[in-house]
Amino acid sequence: MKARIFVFKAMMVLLSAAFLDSCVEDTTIPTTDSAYVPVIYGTITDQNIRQGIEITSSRGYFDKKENARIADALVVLCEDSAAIHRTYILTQDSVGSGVYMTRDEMRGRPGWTYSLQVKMDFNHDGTVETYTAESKMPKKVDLDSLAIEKIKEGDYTMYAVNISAVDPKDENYYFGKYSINGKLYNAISKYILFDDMSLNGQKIRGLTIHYFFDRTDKDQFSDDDAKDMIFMSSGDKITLQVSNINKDYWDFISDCINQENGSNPMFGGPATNISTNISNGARGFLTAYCVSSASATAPAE
Amino acid sequence: MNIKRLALTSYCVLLVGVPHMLYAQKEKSVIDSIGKVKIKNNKQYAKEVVISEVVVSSKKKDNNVTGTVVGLQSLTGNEIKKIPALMGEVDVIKAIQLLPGVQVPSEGSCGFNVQGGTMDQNLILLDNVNVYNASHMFGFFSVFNNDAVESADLYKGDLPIKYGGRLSSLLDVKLKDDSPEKITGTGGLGLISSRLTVEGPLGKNTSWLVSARRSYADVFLRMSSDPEKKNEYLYFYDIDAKMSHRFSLKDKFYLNIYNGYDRFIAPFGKIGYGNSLISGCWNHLFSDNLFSKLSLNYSRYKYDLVWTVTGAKVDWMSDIQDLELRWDLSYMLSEKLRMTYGTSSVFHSLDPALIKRPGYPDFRMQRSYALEHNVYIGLEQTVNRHLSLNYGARFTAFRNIGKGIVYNYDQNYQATGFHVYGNGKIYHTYIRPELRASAVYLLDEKSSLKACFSHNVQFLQMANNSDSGSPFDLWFPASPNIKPQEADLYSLGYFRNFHHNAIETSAEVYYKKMRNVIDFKDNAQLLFNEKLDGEVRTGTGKSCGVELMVKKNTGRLTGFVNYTLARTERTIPGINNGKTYLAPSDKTHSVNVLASYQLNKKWDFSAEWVFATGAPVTYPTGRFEINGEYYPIYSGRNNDRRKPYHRLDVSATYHPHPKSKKWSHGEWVFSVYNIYWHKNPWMTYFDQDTDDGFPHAKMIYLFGAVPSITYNFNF
Repeated sequence: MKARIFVFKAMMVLLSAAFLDSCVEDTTIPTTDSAYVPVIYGTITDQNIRQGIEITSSRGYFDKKENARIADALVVLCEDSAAIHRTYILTQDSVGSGVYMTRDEMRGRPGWTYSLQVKMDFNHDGTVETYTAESKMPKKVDLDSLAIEKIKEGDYTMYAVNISAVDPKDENYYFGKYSINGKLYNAISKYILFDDMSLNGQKIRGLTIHYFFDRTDKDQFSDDDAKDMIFMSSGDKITLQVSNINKDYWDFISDCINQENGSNPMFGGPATNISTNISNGARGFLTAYCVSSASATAPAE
Repeated sequence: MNIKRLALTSYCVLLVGVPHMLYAQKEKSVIDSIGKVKIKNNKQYAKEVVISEVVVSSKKKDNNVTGTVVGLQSLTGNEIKKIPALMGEVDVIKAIQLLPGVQVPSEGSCGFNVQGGTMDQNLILLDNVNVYNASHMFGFFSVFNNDAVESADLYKGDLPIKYGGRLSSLLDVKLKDDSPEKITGTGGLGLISSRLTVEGPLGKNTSWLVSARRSYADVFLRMSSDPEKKNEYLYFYDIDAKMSHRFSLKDKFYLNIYNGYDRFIAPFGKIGYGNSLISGCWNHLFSDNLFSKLSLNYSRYKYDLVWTVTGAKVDWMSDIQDLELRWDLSYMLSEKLRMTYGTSSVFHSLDPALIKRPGYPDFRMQRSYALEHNVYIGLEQTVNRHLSLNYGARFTAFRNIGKGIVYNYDQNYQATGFHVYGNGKIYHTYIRPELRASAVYLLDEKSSLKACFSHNVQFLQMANNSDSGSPFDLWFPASPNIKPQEADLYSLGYFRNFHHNAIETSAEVYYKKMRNVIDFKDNAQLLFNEKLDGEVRTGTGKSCGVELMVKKNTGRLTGFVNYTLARTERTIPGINNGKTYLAPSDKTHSVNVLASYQLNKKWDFSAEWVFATGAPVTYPTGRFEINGEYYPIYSGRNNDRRKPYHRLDVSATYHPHPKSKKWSHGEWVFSVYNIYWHKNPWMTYFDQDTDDGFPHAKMIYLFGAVPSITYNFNF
């Protein structure tokens, strides 16, 4: 991912260096809307909370209306180990929100399988359709430490997010979610995605998994770029949640990040649908993972 | 007349610059293999003819009509030079893109697709050595310095029998091979780069050529008021060196070296990539009828990306190397029958990634090795005055050798196990024939019908999802999990020349059927993936089209107009739900117009207009929302098309001192690319509006009208 961003930057410098008049402008694309499909997204974690999923409907890509929430679904979540099988009925606290929660707090367990069944008459044809998904929670990987390092690269000041942990020997895939000064950045495009391809089975010491630019450098970016960036300042407190996740969920996040803005002729492949583990033509994902958290403060120097 | 031996074949002597052109065109002379001149039509002329220049050409003027190769398009360095160029950088591949049946992958790219093929289905040779990535500056310019280029021949499908391994085409670029009597040179100063080519003799039997080019965008960057850009470097260079020595009338040795590299350095890291080619070649005449060429060729394409941010330095290196030994022979069995035959062996080494990270052991993805052995035999036969044939076969044994890991996959492409093969262990072999047959039937002296069948096989392919000039190519071989790609090409053409070959016309139709063509599963992970085989999907493809061409070769106004009507499809299980979809290179209509006009001795003008149906593209037909962000839903691959592509380029060349050979008396080339500023979309992307939060589309176009000025000189 970093390589792609880097090459894209190289490309932009090339163009400006060659005095090209490359331009970005709004355009309209005549598209035909496809039939609406249900969208089911849920995460089950090892935190003792009310676990939940969200059900919405897709829309035409350029529609100027919010995606509809699905209020009349029957949602059943099951957890299975070799010896235990439990079933939970998920309901909406506020009917019409499309958010279905377990009644009580519950904690997911590594190695257990979580399966979801959603029944609804999505297209209002009098027939109830069933949508299912399943995810096995991977084992937990504990963060040993989190450190923020302030660095200067060229004219930029940046904060490197460095983690230490022990990577298990088998193939592992990770994602990180963070909050800065208590504000959680939960959009998938803000997730930090990494794997253990070149580190497999090793003790990771101060591995940099992400950079934040200093807020004072915001002016060095165009408004269009800056609106999608997260900046930090000295003294900011970051809380990082790192999770060992299944490969298929890692792929889902990667697809979301890659496909969010459409395909790119320089680096991207063909535009393709984001992967899903929901059955029966629905979009979205059900995943289960453990959460390991650590906090650190951005240093002054 | 002093005639030099060039090679074993017949040559026409064309008299150029003769005051009485009528006489000159009627003259037909042939030089035999030992340099004697035979006058076939020795007329007595009433007037004395003064010859100012003799041009010896290995190609007949009516070669487009009489030649047995179907789908061959040839350009010379001088022809290429006349074409208006982006930022004044005259470019071989940009010229090739104007030929019928050739499509441009994306705006500004120096890649090309031939008759519905992909870019990696083109075999690109520089003096017989394979060039794996022919691009500079992220694909905007090619690696070929036109000042050193003698000719560029594009074979569309019907490859010469001695070459194979690609489905779509061969681009055969030859550097100059003349032996000037004294040191001469040519060069130029442009906005992007400067170049210099010098050639000359070294004693009686040795000649040499050195050609170099370097861009200087980095110099402009250092002038930038932007402090960040001041610390950035962006440049490319390339050097061609060629030496030939004639040991005797029967033996000649060539040594060719090419080295080119691109470098981009920024505060965060650097990117470098380039080709290195070395070729040694020994030509020997065993007899007047038997010619041999023994060559040893080495090709390497490498790239590296270094991420240098403090504490997280990562160095990623990758390369592909070929070492080839080949022996090509040509035997003239009779005046009507020539046989070519030979053999070659190539050792392929493919290194997808070596990652160095301080404090951690080096990580190297598994290299791939392969041996490719070929034997071939072909015959050129003149059956009678009307019918000529060209046919042959080549057989290839492609062998995967260890050390290597082969994964086993289930029907869902999930790895179920693997097998490790030791060093040097041959663990899989494909033996595939490639067949070529073409026929030319001369209807009369001016027109002919040509037909061709060609069966091509490809053992190496590129895992690159992008359609632009990304340097991060990843080639991978046929293996137990991936069968070689194969294509059958059928083509038929009618050729007719007018006005003593001054005007060439042609109409060709083709149909190409492909098997085991590859594509990649949705959202494939191509880089840093040891189980790349599991990301590949294979199926069938077909391509068909009509290509029309009118070309005017002589007079003040020269140029061509061509039109291509084409369709290219793929059907691959696992892609687009198994339904047939348009290939990315499918462009229904393509029109190219090139016109050059010599106003007088001091001014030349050229104009080029290109039009093409918009490339197939996949636009979203729906969206879903998660955590406040919208993501696209697609209904099918390549269901939509971009807007049509078109632009007009113009150039004017001013020769202040037309006859002078002083470097200071050179020519000035003024050009404007895309003069009417058509906004050809390079990329369409989607963004969420800052006001209402809903997705909207944005379009990037790379070039408005781009003026340039170049100074060219000779000495």
